[in-house]
Amino acid sequence: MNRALPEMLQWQQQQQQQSYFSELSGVFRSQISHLCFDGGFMSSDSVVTREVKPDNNGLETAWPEPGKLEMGSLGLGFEFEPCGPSYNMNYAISGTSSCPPPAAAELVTGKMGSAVGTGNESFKKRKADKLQNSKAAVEDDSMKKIKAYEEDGESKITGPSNSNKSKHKKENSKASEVQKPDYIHVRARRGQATDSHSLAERVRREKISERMKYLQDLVPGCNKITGKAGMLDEIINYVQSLQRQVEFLSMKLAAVNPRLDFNIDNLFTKVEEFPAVQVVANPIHYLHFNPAQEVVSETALRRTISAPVTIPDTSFLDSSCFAQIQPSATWDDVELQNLYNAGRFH
Amino acid sequence: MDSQLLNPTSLKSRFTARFLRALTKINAPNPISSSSPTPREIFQRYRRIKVAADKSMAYSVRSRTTWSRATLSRLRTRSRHRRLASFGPRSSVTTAAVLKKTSSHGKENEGGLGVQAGELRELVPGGEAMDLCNLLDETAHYIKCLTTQVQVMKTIANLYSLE
Repeated sequence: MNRALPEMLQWQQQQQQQSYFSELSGVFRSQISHLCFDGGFMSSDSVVTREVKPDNNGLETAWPEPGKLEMGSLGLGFEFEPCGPSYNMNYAISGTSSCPPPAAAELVTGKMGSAVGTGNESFKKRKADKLQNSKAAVEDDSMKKIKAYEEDGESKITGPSNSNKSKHKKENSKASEVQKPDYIHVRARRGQATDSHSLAERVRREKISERMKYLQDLVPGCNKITGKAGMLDEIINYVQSLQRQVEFLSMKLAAVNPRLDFNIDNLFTKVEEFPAVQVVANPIHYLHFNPAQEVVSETALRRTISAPVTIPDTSFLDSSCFAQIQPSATWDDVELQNLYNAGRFH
Repeated sequence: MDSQLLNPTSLKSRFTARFLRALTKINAPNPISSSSPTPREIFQRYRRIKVAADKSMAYSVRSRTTWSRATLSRLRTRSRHRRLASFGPRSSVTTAAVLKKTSSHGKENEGGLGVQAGELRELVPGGEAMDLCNLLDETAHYIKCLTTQVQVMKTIANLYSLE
C-alpha cells in the first residue's frame, strides 16, 4: 500500500497540465466507452461491493490525497478491493498512472483488459459524454446526482484535499450504477465549472456541434469552413438555393409540359432508373447554377412571376435567359445531359 | 448505381409517385397540346405544380418532422383562405400570436448565432418555434428532402423535354 504512495506524490507534483489529463481521459474515454467497470466490478463476486465501504474508506484515509487523485485521475471508478489479486492490480494500475500519458494509457488499458477478464462483467453501454459526475457532486450538492456510496466514500477525502481539487479534478470516476437513475449524467472536465446549469449548457453545446458536423456532411463544400457562423451561412445559402431550384423546376415543368401522353408507370420506372443528379459541389457555383440552367419560355412570363417568386439580387431573369420553347429545349437537353454525365461519372 | 432499382418505400419513390399523380391531374384538363398556352396559364400551372411538389413531399414525410407538419398546415390554411376570404385575416393573426408565445422561451441559448439562426428559421417551414438544437435537426432532414425533390423534378423535366 505504501509503496505506491511516493510514486503518487511524485506524480502529483509533476503533472499539472490539462492536456495530460485530457489526453489521458480521452484515451480512457475511447477505450472504455463500451465498458462499464462499475457495473462489472459491482456484479462480480470477487470485486468490491457496497459492503466494503469501511475498507475503502480506510484505504483512502490512509493516504487521502493520492487516493483521491487516484479515483479522479484514473477516471474509471476503480473501487479499491479488499481481495488480493484485484487489489494488487488496482494498485498496479495506479502505479502506472504516473507514467507519461501514452505509456500510461497503454499500460492502463492493458491492465484494464485483464481486470475485465477477472471480474464478471455486465458492462453497460453508455455515451462518452454522459458519465456520472461524482466529484462535482461532492462539490456541489445542489446537483443531486450523487450516489450515496460515493458521497460516503469521498466526503472524507474532500476535507484534506479540497485545495487540490481544482487542480486535480479531471475526468471523474464513474460511479457504480446497479440501479439506473433517471438523470442525465455528464462528465465534468478539468478546470470547468460543475454546477448543473453549466453542465446542461455543455451538453447542449455538444449536441449542437454534433448536429453541425452532420450538416457539414450534408452540405457540399463545407469541409473547409470552420466555425459555426460560417457553417450556418453556408447552410442558409444551400437551403435557399435548393428552394429556388424547386421553384425553377416547377416553372419549367409548367412551361414544358403540355404534351403529356406518357404512360404513368413507364414514366415512374424511368424516373427511378435515372441516376441521381448531383447537386453541384462548388459552393459558389451553385449560387449561379440556377440562372444558367433554368429556362423560361416567354418574355411576358417575367412580369407575371416576378412578384411572387423571390428572386435574388443577381437577377437571372433578364432577357438573355429567355428563349422560345423549341430551341431552348435542345440547349437545355445538352446542359442537363452534361449534368447527368457529370453525376454518373462522379 | 444506374441500374439499381430503388427501394419502393424510400422517400424518393414515395415522393415520385405522389408527384407524378399530381402532375397528371394538373395536366389532364389541358387537351390542346399544340397551341402554346398563355403566360397566365403557365403561371397558374406553375403555382399548382409548386404546391403539388411541396405537398407531395410533405405527405411523403408523413408529419414525422415539424417542417412537414408546418408545410401541410400552411398549405391547408392557404387553400382555405382562397375559398373563404373573410376568414383569412383572423386566422393569420391568431397563428402569429401563438407562434410568438411559443418561440420566445425556446431560443435563449443560441450563443453568438442569433442572426443566422433567425434566417434559418425563416427558411425552414415551422422553424420559428424551435430552439437551435431541434432547428438543426429539422434543417438536416429538410435538406435531404429538398435534394430528393430537386433530383426527381429535374429528371421529370428532362424526360419531358426529351420527348
